[in-house]
Parts: sequence; C-alpha cells; structure tokens
Amino acid sequence: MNHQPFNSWLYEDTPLPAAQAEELKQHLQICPDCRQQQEAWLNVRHMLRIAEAARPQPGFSSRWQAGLEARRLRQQRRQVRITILALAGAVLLVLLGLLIYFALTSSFADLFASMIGTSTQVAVGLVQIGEFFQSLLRFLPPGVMTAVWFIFASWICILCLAWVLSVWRISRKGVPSHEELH
Amino acid sequence: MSNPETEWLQRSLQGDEEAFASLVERYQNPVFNLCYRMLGDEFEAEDAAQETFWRAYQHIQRYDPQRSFATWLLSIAAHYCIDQQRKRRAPILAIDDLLEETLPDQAPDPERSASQTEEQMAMRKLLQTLNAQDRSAIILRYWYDFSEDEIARALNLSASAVKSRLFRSRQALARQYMADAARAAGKERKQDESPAF
Ligand SMILES: [Zn+2]
Repeated sequence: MNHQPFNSWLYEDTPLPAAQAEELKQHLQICPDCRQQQEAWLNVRHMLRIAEAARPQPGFSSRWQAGLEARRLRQQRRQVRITILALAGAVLLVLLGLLIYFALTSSFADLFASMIGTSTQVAVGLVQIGEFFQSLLRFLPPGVMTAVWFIFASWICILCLAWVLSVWRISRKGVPSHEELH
Repeated sequence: MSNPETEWLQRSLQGDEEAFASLVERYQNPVFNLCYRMLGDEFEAEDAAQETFWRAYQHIQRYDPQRSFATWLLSIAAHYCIDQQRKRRAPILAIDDLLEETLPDQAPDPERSASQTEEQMAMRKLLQTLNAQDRSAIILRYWYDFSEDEIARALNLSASAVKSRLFRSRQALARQYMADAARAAGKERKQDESPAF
C-alpha cells in the first residue's frame, strides 16, 4: 500500500485543508499502519501538552546572587593576574629590546668597557657614602652609637620574625587558592 | 510587557543588579524547566539555569528591547544545553569544571522525587531519544508555544531547517512511543504466561 502523502500529513502541525483531511481520513480507515502511527503521535503530543513544568528548588534567585558575587570576584582576580602578566611581559620586552639595540649598535668591547666603567663608578660611590657615615659617627658620642646599633638589631629581629611567620602561614594554608589557578 | 518588567529591564541595562535579580525571580521557572527537559537531571538543570542567567546578565547589552525578554533568555538556555549535551557526548576533562566551586548542598526534595510520575519518566525517556537540537526544537514548540520562526531565531537555524527537524522529531517520537508500548505489552504478556506456583 502506498502510504504517501498520507503518512506525512499525519505529522503536519497545522490543520490540513478540508479536501486533504478527507483523503487522510479515508486512508486511515483502510491502513492500520498509519492509524497506529497517528494514535501514537497524538498520544505523544498529549503528553507534551499536559506535562507539568519543572520548578527549581526554592531560593533560586538568592543562589544566583551569591553565585554572581563569587563569579565577579573570580573575574577581578583574573583581571589582576592578566594585568600583572602583561606588565611583566612589557618590561621583559623593553629589556630585550634594549639588549638587542645595544648589541646591534655597539661592539662587544665597547659594551664591556662601559659595563666596567659603570660598576667602578657605583663602587666608588658606595665607598664615598661609607666614608661619609664613618666621619659622621666620629663626631657622635659613644652612647648614640650603641642606641643606633640596638635599634638596627631589633628591627632585623622583627623583620626575621615576620618573615618566618608568613612562611609558616603560607605553608599551612597553601597560598595559590584554587580560584587563582582557575 | 508589564510595567515593572520594563522598569527592571531598563535598570538592568544600566547595570542594576537588584533589578536583574527580580528578572531572575520572574523567569526562573521557564528557564529551569527548559534546562530540565533538555538535560533530564535536576542538578544539571540548576547549574544550566544559573549559567543562563549569568550569561544574560553579562551580555544584557546585546538584548534587543523590541523583542521578548523570555524568548531571548530561553534562546540562551537552549544554546547552553545543546553545548552541554555535545560536551557530554565527548567527555573532556575541563580544568574549569574540575576547579569550579561546588554549589551549596541541596538535599533532594522527597516530595518532588515522589511526584516523578510514571508519565513524566516516560516523557523524559522519549525526549532523550532525540538529539539535543531536535529536542530543544520540540520543547520550545510544545512547552513554550514558539512558532517555527521563533524557534529558528532562537536556535540560529533557517525556518525550513526547523520545519524539517520538527517533522522528523514528531515521527521519531511516535515511533519510539510505539516501540515502548510494544515492549510494555510484551512484558505484560510474559508475566501472564509465567506459570504460577
Ligand atoms: Zn498508510
């Protein structure tokens, strides 16, 4: 039996013109196959139409707001990381550029000589600063010297303590939280 | 569109979070239902619905106020669920998913689990036989009364593609229904024939 076009008409969503509807009706009377399909589709459509809409657990919008906060924080952190990386990259690029520039514009011997010259100047400067402080100290009474040393030593101690504490805290907590790795 | 909604939308367009939360409150049910019908799982549906609203919030500037907000939201949800289904078919361990913070604990609601009637289960099984895009077309057509043009716009398909997808899906659903019915009848017959001691 030829089921077309009747079989296609079964699944049409829009109402058929009267003539076609009549033809389909006649075909369905003699074709159990198409009749069965029509029944099945009508059942499915009925199921689709009466199916209840699923609803979320109560508190959906407050969960959304909480999620929004978390996502925003994550985004901010990501942005900070990207900024830092970009800055570091830019600095590196500038340094690389300078290096290439110097390598191209001056000979290796010149570069070496100017490096020696600069470092000598820095060393001389440091020595001069040292001498200045030494001559300053000579004019101070001995009590002041002891006090200065005492303050200096205690500052070093405090700094060391702070450093040890932070190392201990980091090792306990594990600093890069999972969001930062995200 | 009602007045408070227009106002919420306008305020949301200016970045007002409270106003958007009101929109979430208003549209949570249709969005959740679409996700649930698409994914077939309550927890996945919650995640997908949350993600839908997040995406809408992020891209609210892309919303065209001349169109229906519900249609726009449902379109985002449908796209997201289709993507999820594709990912599920080819499971790749996404680092993002692994590191994603877990949602606050949600105990399954016994009342709701009990209300999962047999008919709903059958419905879910039927829908799962379609591929994600066909399923979304059927859901939008029969749950949300979208026209073929609206579905085409929501799913970025041509109107003729939607027409043929819907046609094919109706056929597939009817065939599956007949197969299920035949299997159920076969089982019953077997039980009747089994000798009673
Ligand atoms: Zn026939």
